[in-house]
Amino acid sequence: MRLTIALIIFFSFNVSALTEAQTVRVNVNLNKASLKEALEVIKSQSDLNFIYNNDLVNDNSQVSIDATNQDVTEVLEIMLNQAGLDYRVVDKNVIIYPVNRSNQSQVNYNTVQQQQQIVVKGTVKDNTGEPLPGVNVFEKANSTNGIITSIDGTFKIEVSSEDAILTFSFIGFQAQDINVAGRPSINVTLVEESIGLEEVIAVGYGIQKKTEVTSSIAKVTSDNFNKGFATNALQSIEGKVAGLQIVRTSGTDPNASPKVRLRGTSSLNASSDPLIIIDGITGGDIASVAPEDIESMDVLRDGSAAAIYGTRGTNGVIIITTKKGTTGDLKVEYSGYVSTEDAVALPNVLSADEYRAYGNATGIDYLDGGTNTNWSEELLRKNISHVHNVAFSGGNKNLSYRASVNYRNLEGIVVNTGQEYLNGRINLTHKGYNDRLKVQLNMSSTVMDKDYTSYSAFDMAAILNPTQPVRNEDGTYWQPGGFGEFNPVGSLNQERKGGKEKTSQLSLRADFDLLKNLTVSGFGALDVHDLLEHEYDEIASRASELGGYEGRAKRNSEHKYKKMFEGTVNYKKVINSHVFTALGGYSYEDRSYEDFWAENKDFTSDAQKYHDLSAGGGLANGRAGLDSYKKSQKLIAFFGRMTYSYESKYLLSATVRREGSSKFGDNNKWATFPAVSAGWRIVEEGFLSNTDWLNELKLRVGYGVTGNIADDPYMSIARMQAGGMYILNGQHIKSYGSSTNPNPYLQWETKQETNIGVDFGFLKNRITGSVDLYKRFTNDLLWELTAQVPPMIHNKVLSNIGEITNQGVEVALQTKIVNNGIWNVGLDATFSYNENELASLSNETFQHQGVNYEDLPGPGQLGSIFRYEEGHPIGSFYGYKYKGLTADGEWIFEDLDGEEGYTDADRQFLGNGNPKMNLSFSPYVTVKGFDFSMNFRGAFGFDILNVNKMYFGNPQWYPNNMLRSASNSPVNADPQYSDYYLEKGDFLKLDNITLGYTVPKKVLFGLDYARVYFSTLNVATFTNYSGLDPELELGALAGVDKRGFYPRTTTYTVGLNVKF
Amino acid sequence: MLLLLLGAVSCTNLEEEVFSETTKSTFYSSAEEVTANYLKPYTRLYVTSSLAHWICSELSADGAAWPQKGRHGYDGGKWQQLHWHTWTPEHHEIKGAWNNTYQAIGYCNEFLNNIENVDVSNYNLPVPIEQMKAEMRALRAFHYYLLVDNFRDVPVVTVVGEPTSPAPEKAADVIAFIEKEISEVIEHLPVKGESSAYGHFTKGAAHMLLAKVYLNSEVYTGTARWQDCINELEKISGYSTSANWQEPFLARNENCEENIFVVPFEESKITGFYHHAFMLHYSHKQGFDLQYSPWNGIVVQPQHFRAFDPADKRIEQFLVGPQFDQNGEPLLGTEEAKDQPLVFTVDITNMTTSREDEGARCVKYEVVVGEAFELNNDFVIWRYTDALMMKAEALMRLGKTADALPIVNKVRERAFGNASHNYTVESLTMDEFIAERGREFSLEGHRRQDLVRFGKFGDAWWDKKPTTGTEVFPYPLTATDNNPNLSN
Repeated sequence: MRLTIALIIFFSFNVSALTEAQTVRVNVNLNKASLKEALEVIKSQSDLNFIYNNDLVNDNSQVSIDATNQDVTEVLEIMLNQAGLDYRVVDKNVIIYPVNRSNQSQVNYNTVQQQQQIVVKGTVKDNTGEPLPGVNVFEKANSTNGIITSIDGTFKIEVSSEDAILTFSFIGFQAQDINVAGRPSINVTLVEESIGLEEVIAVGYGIQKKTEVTSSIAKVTSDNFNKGFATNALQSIEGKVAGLQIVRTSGTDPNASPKVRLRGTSSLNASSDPLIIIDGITGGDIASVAPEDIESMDVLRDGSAAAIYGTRGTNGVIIITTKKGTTGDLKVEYSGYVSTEDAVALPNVLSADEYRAYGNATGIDYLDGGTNTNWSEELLRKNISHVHNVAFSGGNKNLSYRASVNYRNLEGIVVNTGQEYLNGRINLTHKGYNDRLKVQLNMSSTVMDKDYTSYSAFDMAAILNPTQPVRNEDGTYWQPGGFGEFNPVGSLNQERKGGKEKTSQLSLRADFDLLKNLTVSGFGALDVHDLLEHEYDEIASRASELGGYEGRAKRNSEHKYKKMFEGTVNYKKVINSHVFTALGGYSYEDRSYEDFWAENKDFTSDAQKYHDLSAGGGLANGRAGLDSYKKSQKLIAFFGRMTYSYESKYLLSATVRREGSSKFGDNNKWATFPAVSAGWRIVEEGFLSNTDWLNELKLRVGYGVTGNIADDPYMSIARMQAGGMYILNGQHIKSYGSSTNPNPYLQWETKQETNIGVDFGFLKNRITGSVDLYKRFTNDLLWELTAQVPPMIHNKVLSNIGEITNQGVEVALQTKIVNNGIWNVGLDATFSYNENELASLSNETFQHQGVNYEDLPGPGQLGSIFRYEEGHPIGSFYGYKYKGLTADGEWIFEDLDGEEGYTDADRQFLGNGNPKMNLSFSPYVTVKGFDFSMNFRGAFGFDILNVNKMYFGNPQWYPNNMLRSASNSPVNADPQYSDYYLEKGDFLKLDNITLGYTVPKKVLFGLDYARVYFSTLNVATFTNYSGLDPELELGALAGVDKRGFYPRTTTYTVGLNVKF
Repeated sequence: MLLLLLGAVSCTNLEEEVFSETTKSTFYSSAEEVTANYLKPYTRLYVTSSLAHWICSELSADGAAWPQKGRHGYDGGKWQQLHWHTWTPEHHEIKGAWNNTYQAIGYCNEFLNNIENVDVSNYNLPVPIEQMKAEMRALRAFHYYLLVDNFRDVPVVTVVGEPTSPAPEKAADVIAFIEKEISEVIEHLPVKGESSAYGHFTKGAAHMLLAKVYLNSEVYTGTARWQDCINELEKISGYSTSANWQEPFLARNENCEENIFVVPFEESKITGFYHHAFMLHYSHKQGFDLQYSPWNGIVVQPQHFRAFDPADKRIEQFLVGPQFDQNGEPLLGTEEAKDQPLVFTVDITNMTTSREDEGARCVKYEVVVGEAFELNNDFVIWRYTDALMMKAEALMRLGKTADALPIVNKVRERAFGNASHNYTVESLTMDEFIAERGREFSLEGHRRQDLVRFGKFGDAWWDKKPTTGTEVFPYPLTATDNNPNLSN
């Protein structure tokens, strides 16, 4: 508990602690105001928090003061003197006491006659065992009988009866009622109340108190992270933020990153991934931070919040803050877990015996290999993953640090897949020059060793003849004869791929209080990423056989390098109840990407694998290859923010970013991204002053403009690129020609977003939450437009065209249903609804009727799956409408054009793969050290194209293996793409169950804290979808249940957290 | 603050830096760079001739077809549409014929436009700059001829990117453009035998181009120009017919005397020729010990195979009956005939429900055992026998069948090895002539043009019903969608 640690420091460094508050100057001009109101004024002008007993500080005690630019300590002294109170400052906390601070302070507010003289003594502590001074202790039946605990947390009170109930209350803690029950001595542990009101939110280039935030920002702190197994830090907030969808499209592949979408899809060609900022480094790689090291993630959802990130703000911003050191003794924290997985949802194909029976019954020839093979099972293994994190932290008033080491050994459930991960991180903070200078150094380095897999192995496993063996009698892998077919077990063992990845981040930040109220900051960072990949096909592998070579080795290396510098100036001005802040800044980012690969073929031996490329004979035969590549880009911006608040009641914020990027055309290098937002804390209004049940009510309105940027840095300029060879004078010579159509007018996508939101807190903040309504227009979409050929050379030109709208609502709710110090029962929930529409796909030159995209896989080339068309949402399925089957089982589709046969004109819109609604809820219970929680997550209002059923659920597929459902399928025709294979995707998942036990301190033998837990992930899926898993890709390619995949798993985890 | 100001002054430069490519503005700084850009349009020749134009010409005609075989070969119906003449402006291959041809034209324009601003007088160019420019203009004219053949009225552009939304010009005007261009550059074109001529657009090719334009002039413009055609053909010199039908198509056909204009494919250097992959069965990987698995796509229509007399040596270009590997072991099927011996039948069920083993296959271009993915053989765009037959046809059109007879019989004699199957003035009818053209130039990419010229493109054959008005392909939808001056 931070406060108590701080208190101890306060008592040992009494004088120096006071200097913290002395640096603040305030303007207060009040006449007969309530003390509470006066404190609010000071609060609004400083970073101070006030900790007090409601009976001491109330509307009854009136104060008057006229102070202009006066030291806050002096102002407090004057005011509190008038109310007969005293105070102490600890860090940013001001603790208010009665003047009489004798060892056993006993203040009777009312001189009530004591009828019985039953004395109860005791100590009040917090849940870490630190004594709490200043706690209000009073008899529930007679609230006028009360005292305040002394500095060592002790109290002594006379009560009216042996059955008297004592109420213990303290700001920041949950109040507790305790029956004296005749005991002369009671020790009480108060539980901290995570009320969230004074929570601090990361906004772009700074922090704000949650109460003062005027845009839509959701914060998730580590306490609320999903517990247990995670292959990626973003899984920690899966389902925690309304409007933020995090989907593991690649099953439980230890090397895959989840797909992230905020408030729907707002781009066709450019990225739809949010900007991730890790400790100030923009565009950070989420894999470079261990989930255990993250303190909080702040999700900037609306345009007014994200506009300060300009061309990269459209898809939202996720600000990740890692854990920092705290002052005090050296603390060591260990957390770790061991996990194992079970594959769920494998294609439900015929067993070997069923396969034979079907062939015999139908009289279709099949080859009986004489064995029984379950191909999918052959690709799986029993796996054990383990993760360990050790963190050391400590420091003194000037210097604090946290150093951690994270080791993860993630063994994939698919043979030969996995990742070994080692990360070290040091965060250092040093203050000096009378606290005017603060320097922060963050260093992180990560090494990963990855074994990749091929998702087509499971595609193949589904269709191979199950009577064939994995291996022939001579030990070689059996290979099927069909076009493009291979033995997937052989493939995973003989065609190996992997890579070693290193990332390092180094950042240095200095904040200097140049003047009173004026802070100058500089931030510089380096972010380096190196990857060395390898591929090796053994000589006996199917790939070698099909490719006509004797083994193939490839190495690929890439190097990403980024340097950034940011300078900011912060200014704060207070005039009575008016508080102004201003921020100005400059940002420079330069990043480059380099790639080099080489490949050789025809090896004599598998012994060296990819470690000696020169051992292959392919170079001499012209069968080797190599290439290298480099690109770079720059981003420069000037930005600013002004905020104004009046009595913390009326809040206003405006930001602007002027940003330029090297990626854009000469005519459009620079753009301006403005935003403005306002808040009204209705709860502070006089007419609500008597509503005890209402703790927070704030109305927010925001409008902001953000951008989105093309991936390729050179699309605006005319480039010449080496091409194929041609003959001249008997020599073969490399040709050169233009590589793309240049677009000197290329610019960013622009999104304009309006957001209206309400934050609320009821019943002592036992119910808190927010509701947001938004509408976003994305214009000038970056799109690979079909170019005019002629006169252009190339088919495509990256251009700006069209508009997408997204509108929706997001609700977040946190409730504490029971909260009495013993039982703690609650439910957190989020809900979001989004409507997406491609509003326009045209500009002056280009009018698009619609564009079909994403072809179905072979065999058959059944056309494209989706269509972009004005007025329809992104990710719309487009094909034939199923009308039934003929008596022979041939397809009947709706014939729109009346012409014979089914043509492109008979295709129509069939559905959409993007969920309209997302829901999550997490009930939790803690009692006597036990904690139990569940996460449910669901998505609703979308369709899934069951590609497996389309191909393998068709009896025509035999004698390839097919789904069990195919054997009684009425279809007797080759596959065609129609809504026959579209299914409702609605699902609700029980995503996580965690049961933990926190060991009581008395049996910890000196440990500060110990918790063991058991957790399962992906426990159950409730859905009517008949395919594998209904949670699929989002965006333009949404809702396609593909043939190749990495299996979803249920994960079982046992974990331990220890602090000492 | 100071830092901020410094930053503001020095760090607002957003010029792109390129590394693995170069920008147009700095290119053409050496003889090598100029040469590299001059060769670029030629590298697109394989797409425009051996792929896009070839596919549209043969799969819409009466020789070749790509039927659906079980679950393979539906391919969005595009092969069936070509065969049935039911294509739409969205057809993928028609779009390819448009885009790829204009891309080749674009690269010619790129060189011609950019070289205007480059002083090459100090460059030691491997061929004179006049020859480079002449070849670019002639190659561009060739591609406009392909466009006229497929689409008739088409936009003519000579500058990259200009004008925006070009309108189509009448086929007669496009042809006038072709004639003007050739007449202005022909003296600078290389001549067969010169070291720079091989694989390049020669004088011979220029005459052949004009002859082709004149032969089809009636179709293109309504005005017949038979005598112009003959005149142009008579200017072609230095070529001769080979001893047998196969010589022009052998793997090492570089020095074949018959070939006038070729795409000079060379393994691992100039790649992209895989007609055998279209036609051979998956199992021919074993059959020819290939380094890849072919696609089992294109087959020979039954009536086309049967049009060959068994004594006609040209029938050897087809594979029928049981197929064997190099050791004489039977090849096996993998689909409908899974694990059974693979036996190609002449008859094919139809375009929608055929089997993997139906249809004869064409290996006109020699397939070398152990071949890599791409063929080494040069693809023949034009050969001297075609020039001869064109002259014969023009003569027949002018009523001079007797003059045409010896020319046709020369071709006939080579096919049969003797004069026993020669035509007479009576037997050499126009119908017999187009049939003979079909046999001689089987699957060489001329058939659609020939059938259109003989008014037979709308006839019924095999799985195709009679059609009308399909002689010209529609502009692709992608072209009309964003060019308001272009519509079907």
